[in-house]
Amino acid sequence: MSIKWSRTLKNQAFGMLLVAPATLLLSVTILIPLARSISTSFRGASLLSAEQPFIGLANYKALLSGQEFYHALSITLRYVACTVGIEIVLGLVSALLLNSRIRFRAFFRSILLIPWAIPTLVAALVFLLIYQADYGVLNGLLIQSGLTEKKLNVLNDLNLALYGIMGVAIWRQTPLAAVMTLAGLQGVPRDWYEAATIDGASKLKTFLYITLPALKPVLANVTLLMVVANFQMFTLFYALTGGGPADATQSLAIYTYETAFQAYDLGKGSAIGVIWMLLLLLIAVPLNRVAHRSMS
Amino acid sequence: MKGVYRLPTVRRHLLNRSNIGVYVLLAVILSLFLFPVYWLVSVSLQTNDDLFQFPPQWVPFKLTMQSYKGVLLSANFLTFYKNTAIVAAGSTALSIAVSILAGYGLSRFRFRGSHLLLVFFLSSQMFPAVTLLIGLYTLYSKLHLLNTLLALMLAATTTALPFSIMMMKTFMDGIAGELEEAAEVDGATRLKALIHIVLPLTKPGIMAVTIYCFLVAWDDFLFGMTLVRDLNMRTLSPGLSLTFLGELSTNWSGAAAAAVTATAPLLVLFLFLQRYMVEGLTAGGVKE
Repeated sequence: MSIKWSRTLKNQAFGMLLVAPATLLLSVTILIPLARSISTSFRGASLLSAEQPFIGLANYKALLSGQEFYHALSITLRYVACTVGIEIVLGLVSALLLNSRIRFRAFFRSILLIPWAIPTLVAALVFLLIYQADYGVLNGLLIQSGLTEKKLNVLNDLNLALYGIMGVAIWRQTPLAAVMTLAGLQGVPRDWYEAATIDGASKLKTFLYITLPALKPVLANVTLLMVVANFQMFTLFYALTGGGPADATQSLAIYTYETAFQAYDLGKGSAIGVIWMLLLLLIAVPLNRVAHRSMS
Repeated sequence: MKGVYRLPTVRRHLLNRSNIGVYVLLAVILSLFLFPVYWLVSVSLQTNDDLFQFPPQWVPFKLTMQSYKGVLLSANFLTFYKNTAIVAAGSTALSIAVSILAGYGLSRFRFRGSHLLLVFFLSSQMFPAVTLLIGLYTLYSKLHLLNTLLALMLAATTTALPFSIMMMKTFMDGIAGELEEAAEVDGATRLKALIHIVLPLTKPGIMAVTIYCFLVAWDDFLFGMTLVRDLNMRTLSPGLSLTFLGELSTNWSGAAAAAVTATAPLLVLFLFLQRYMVEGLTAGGVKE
């Protein structure tokens, strides 16, 4: 609904003046660092030495011929796919429940959102306590209910550690997905449903042919938000497992961080980051297109 | 919430069979999501001796504030707290000022490159922070910004700004332009029109951006971990990770009390202002 003032030069200039601070700030904090990261990826750069000789594609060749990068990539993709998939489904179910005829909807929505207001590191700390092998409450529940006989050591188990991290992410992020989906549900025009009722459509059909298509932009938007957030998830991996046990949770974020800041190989670290960024853009751009296609 | 539409089909279904099922399912989901919060608070209120036993106490029988005393008397913790508050407040103020201007510019004016800028603002959310971090680290080291709170403030602003601008633009798109046009005829300058006419109407948007930026800055871990080195420059998340997470094997109660204290201001802010947040999230994301 933006108004169309006459396109005088003065108006153009004023518009540019308004966006100048944002452009400047984002250039200094995103564009320039990004350009530096990309340039570093073609160099033999170390945190320990001042010289950064140009070495062409050597960093990329080293990465793509080794195993570690593919391992980290596969961990990351598995983590993102499972986490986001569960979050979308669980968020949709919660939103449908909250959208049905119930009392205290606003109150339920408020308390459901609480996990999202908790800092990610605190979320990690809470689950370190819950998962703890000897005295943790998860083992208390599993053993007291008879589901398992032996205590689980979730974060130290090669097969369980990644799921342990997913659980924390799902706990903290699903509420946001639910509330955004709920807002989308409340925006579906009511006469669409009335039309379907008149036509005698079943509940399942109404959901499949009216609710879901109407929610498509919202769901795409939620998916995009969650994919971007989880693709770059660092805090949970670092605080819960640090990439272990035996690299079982070595995600791209951890691998990049370790290569650049613990092994001091900035060039190789940048190269991982650059490939990783291209992959993320490859996934995010089509999602973004669906999300921002006009709803009306 | 402005939308009042509900699903007539679901409503009829519920009237027919009574909606106990919905309440039960909701109760299960809500308790799953709230249990970890309950558990954290419960651990923080017990002594470690009471905690190190199996099976665990589902409902604590002896409560003590001892661990909170320890946390609030810890000089390190108070320093982390102060640093986080400074970084969050500074970055929020910066984000609001910049995103009001940019949101207004993008909402009201078409100029050469305005569409390209919009794409840049949107896509800058997608560059992985760890990738940026390598360039940011070497850049800040050249500018002598490493180990300063200003570095953390700028980094948090980077994270929050793109989405803040989109939220602000969407809110301003929803405000009719006639009022400003009238003001212009009266001879008020454009900046005055922005301050006196548009801003008061954008209050919910400003609130939403405030909470969002504050949450983002308070949540930062990666930048706080790498861009500063000294213990007295640490913010809460890295600080907790470096001190209390290390002690986690022996002092659960202390770590939990620190975590609760670190989260409390966010929760208070959030519970009072979340109406705006929900509105803003929907606005910034869904509509063009």
